[in-house]
Amino acid sequence: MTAVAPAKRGFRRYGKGGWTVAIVFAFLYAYHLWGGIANLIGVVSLLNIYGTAPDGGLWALIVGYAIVPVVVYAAALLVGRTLRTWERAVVFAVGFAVVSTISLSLLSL
Amino acid sequence: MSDSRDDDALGWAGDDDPTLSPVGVPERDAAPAAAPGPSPASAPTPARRTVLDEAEDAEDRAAEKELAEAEAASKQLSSAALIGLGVLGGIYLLYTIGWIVSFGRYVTPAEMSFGVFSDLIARTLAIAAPPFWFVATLLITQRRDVRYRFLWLVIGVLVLVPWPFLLGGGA
Repeated sequence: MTAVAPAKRGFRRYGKGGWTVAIVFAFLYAYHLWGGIANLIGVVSLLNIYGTAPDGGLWALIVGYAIVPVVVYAAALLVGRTLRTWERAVVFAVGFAVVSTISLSLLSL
Repeated sequence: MSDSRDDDALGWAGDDDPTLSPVGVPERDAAPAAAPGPSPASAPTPARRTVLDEAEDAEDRAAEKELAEAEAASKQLSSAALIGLGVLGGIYLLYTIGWIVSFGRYVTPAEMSFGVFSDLIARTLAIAAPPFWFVATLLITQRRDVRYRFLWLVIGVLVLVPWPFLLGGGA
């Protein structure tokens, strides 16, 4: 009698294709992250030039703007655990567009 | 009390002939009380199921299972679910229009730098996000319960609000 292999769980289900998709989209999300960090540094240095410090609300906005790509990428990675490879690619692509949406919303506040 | 003459009136000669057994009737019907002991020579012996019979049964079961799965997959949504999907689709459409209007308010600087270019990309992606989320949710939750579909669509409604449009700014 052959032993039945246990079903793969969590991130072990990703496989080579899944991780390839995740890494490719990591570079795309890094573009958003780079923009957020550049904005954070730019705003803080600009405020320093004028001799003022950002208050709590402004800090929350610029830090939130910077970490949105990381949060959305982590969420897409979690959601994609139980999906097929092409479905993971779709989730990452939607997440990439969602990062733009949230970033623009934060900028407008 | 009955004597043998009464029993003779209820039977015909040759009733025990095995060749008179009806064709197509299962064996247990033809011989309802199969005694565990040695059967009388006149009773028909139960036919053993062959590998071919088992294979046909397995094939029938597989076909029935496949049919049930296909019926479940093509099962129509309830009226309430359809109305809910329509309402959510309308909200996503409004969001898309909101992001398009927000994009229209943006004044593109005369000098095209990388920052301006990436800003335009972000605004274009923001327009694409609501329909993309809606279609992706319908695609990915096809094999799942309808509750998951609505859960993800409601999450999208909360996440994709076009704040630049609602607040009236051009940011």
